[in-house]
Amino acid sequence: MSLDDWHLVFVSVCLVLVLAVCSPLVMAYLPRRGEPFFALAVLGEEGMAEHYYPGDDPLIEVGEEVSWTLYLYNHMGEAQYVAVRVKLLNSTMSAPNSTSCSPSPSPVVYEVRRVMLDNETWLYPFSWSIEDVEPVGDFLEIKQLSMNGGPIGTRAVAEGGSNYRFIIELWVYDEDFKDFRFGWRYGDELLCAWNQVWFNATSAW
Amino acid sequence: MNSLSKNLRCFSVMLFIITFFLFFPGVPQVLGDEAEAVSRISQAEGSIKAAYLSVLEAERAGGDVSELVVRLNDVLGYFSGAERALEAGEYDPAVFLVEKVIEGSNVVLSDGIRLMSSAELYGEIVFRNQVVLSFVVVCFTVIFGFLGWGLFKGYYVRRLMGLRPEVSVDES
Repeated sequence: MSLDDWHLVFVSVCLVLVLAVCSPLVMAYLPRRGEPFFALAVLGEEGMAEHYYPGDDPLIEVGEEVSWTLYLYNHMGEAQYVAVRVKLLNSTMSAPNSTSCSPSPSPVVYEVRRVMLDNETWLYPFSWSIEDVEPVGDFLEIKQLSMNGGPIGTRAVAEGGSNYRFIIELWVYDEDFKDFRFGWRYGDELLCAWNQVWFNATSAW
Repeated sequence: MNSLSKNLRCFSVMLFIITFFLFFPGVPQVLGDEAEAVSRISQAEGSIKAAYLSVLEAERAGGDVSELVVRLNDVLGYFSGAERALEAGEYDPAVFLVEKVIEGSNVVLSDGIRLMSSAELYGEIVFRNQVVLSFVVVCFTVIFGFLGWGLFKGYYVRRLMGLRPEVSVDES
């Protein structure tokens, strides 16, 4: 090796050493990569995306208990204060709009809140049953539900008791807005997560 | 004539109110309990938000907030219990749970602020140490790099000069 080659080796070793020592300082000021997001899912009674209804029959009778698990994952890069809001709709009522991130205008029948750590997965057992229904002409009105053991009064009506749906919306506490907001912000974008599960109700016991 | 009828109407309304409360003395108490429970729940909601923001600030300062989050979630459990009690018209249990929520949130809030200050201090110390260490290592590398290079260069040149020239005979 010539003297020039040795010079190059010396300079390279010195540079690598300097970079290695300064890298923790540089890393502290580098922005985090990757898009922050939440994941929301409704799982069946065995914690899988199947068996959502007893006997896999979506026709739910009065008093029949349905067990689901709400799955939520926080990948927002920091702790988040979230609310999962459940709404009961029929097929003609407005669902949330994913493009504009506007929630369903229907009233909330059940809500659960939690503060989630970054990268935390939260599994929330959610069981419900129809407690009281009343036929009104060709329609069926669900007057009372039981959700996780608590009674919930509703006035949800559907033709023939068909095509009811639970909408599960994810609301996130917004520091600037100082309240919960449907969805979360990523730069200038507003993103949101919601799920729906359909079922039919019958007045038979 | 008009003022007389107005006074009479006023008098009869007052008489009705007095009679109503004489026969139903619990009504104002219930209304008062409900109003108190609703106002305390709204206050508790504010306390939870403040506690959450202090946890968030502590996390941003670099603190480990996992234990605070567990406690805040316990508080949220009491809060949902209070809301359900209020919906069921059970005002005393609702107020009792709300008191626990406010107390728990305030503890989390003060612990969050404390954690934030200690995390900030720790972060500053770590940062200062890193800056000093980096500076020392860079200086060390530059000084000893030049020194080492000078020594090596001298050794290399001496070794080169000490080489004996060898004459080869071209026999072709």
